[in-house]
Amino acid sequence: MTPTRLPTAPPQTGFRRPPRVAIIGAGPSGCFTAQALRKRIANIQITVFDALPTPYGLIRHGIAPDHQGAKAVQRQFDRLFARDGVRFVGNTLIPGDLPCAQLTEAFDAVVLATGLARDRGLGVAQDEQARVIGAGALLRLLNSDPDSPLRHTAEGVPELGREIAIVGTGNVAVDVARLLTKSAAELASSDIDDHALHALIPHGIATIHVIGRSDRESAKWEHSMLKELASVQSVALRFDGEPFDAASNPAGKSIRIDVRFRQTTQSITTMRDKTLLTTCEEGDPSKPSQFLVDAVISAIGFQDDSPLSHELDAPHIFRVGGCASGRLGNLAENRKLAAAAAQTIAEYLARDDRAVPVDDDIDHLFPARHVTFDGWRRIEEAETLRARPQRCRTKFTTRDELLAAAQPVTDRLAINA
Amino acid sequence: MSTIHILFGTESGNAEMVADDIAAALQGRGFETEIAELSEDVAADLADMELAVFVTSTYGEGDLPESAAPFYETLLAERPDLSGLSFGAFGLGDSVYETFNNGIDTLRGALSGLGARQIGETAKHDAASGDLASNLASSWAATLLDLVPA
Repeated sequence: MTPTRLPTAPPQTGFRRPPRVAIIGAGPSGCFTAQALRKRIANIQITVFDALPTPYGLIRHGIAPDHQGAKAVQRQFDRLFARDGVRFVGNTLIPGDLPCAQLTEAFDAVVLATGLARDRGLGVAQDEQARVIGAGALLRLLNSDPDSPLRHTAEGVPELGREIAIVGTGNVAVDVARLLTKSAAELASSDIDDHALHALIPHGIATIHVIGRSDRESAKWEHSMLKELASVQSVALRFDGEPFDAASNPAGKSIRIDVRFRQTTQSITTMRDKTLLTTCEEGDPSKPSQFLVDAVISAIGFQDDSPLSHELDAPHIFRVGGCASGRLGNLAENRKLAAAAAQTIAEYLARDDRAVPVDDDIDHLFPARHVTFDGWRRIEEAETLRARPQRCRTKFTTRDELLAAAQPVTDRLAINA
Repeated sequence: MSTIHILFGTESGNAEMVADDIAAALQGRGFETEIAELSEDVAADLADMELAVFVTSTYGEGDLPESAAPFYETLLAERPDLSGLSFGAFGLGDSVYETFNNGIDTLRGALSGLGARQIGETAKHDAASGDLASNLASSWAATLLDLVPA
């Protein structure tokens, strides 16, 4: 992979130019890694690439749109780009817009922080007509990700119907259940994609079955998340038939969320125009349950689909976050993983015997249509200015809109003229 | 002039950023500052400090951040005499959750119980408010300065 890289001339301790690091993926793992590297090596030059015109990955498109407080972690990274000299190069797909070989030759180290882009499948026989939707794709849609697969189906955004099942008992399952059941007033000051939400559930939701493989005690969701779900006004939340808490009295509640534990998914078939989810208790086929619903949402984790994961391998290539661990943890976990990765990278960069790039100029590598951090600031400002009533911002939902908003105002006038 | 120790507990890094902001505000007014993450070692050194600012977030069911737990446990086990310590307290939380800002209150209780004296109001930032924690940190640090013993 490194034909034109030269080993450093005789090992020496004298001046070497500041190390240059490329991070692929401007999500939380990539940004936490940039932050941790800068703390260790003051003069380091970091370029963070993203395929989207916007930075911050799952902070923008994964964390639920009604959890703006959790999204505030991006203020740390704003500082990194605005004040600390870390460079953002958005709208740059690797390898499509920038071949891997050029990248790995130009930088002292390359860090893959591409996350896990796909929802993990349920791994059972599945009727082709059945409606099964990934929770990650759903959250990306409600978070206005222009690349959410649900935005690009032949029929448009699919309608979920009034009866759904969610398979999985982690925080992502709770996010989906909460966003689909909150009233308009309860979504105030979020930045949810209202058009997408209406397209998904034009007639609201009546019942959500939440199906978990584990028992109640070992479910991965956090108790604070469940309490928040139970406090949604119209929701009666029940666990194996028992009310979750006093607030979950079904009287006066229009939506039932029934959680069933120790259920192994057996098959997904169709019956008339509905989807039939068949499970059995602890894998015992003599104890089956069936859920006849309009749609099944899979919330059992994520998997990698980046071609880079297989293509890139060399001593100066590192991996961090989801694409390294195989799971998407919370922000705190990924911050820790990023600190550990930064330590490994810093040790590599300090080696006297490592290869160093020959070429000193990297600007020519960036595609003409790349988005800078200033461009992102313009997008952010435009999204705030056009916020609908009761929303903290209204995001753009297509790449074209994002790229137009990223242009400096003078250039936009020139284009219009 | 004595050093102001700025001690933070964090999981996602927000409290560390606030600690940086408070340090910058205090330095701007001519104070010496030392920033450190809450740890066992910090707990051992606390009895020798005169002035400290504690910054912490809240996690899980209203707990201190995981990384600050050894600090807190050491404090409770060793019970150092903190009667020479004056401290300011800045909490970060998210009012989406019931346990909003429990972490800083837990810490304040422990410090006061060991004889430390709090100066100024406890700042409580709410991430859900949309206000920048950095702005609150800077303005709060400025009010704290007026109360710092010369």
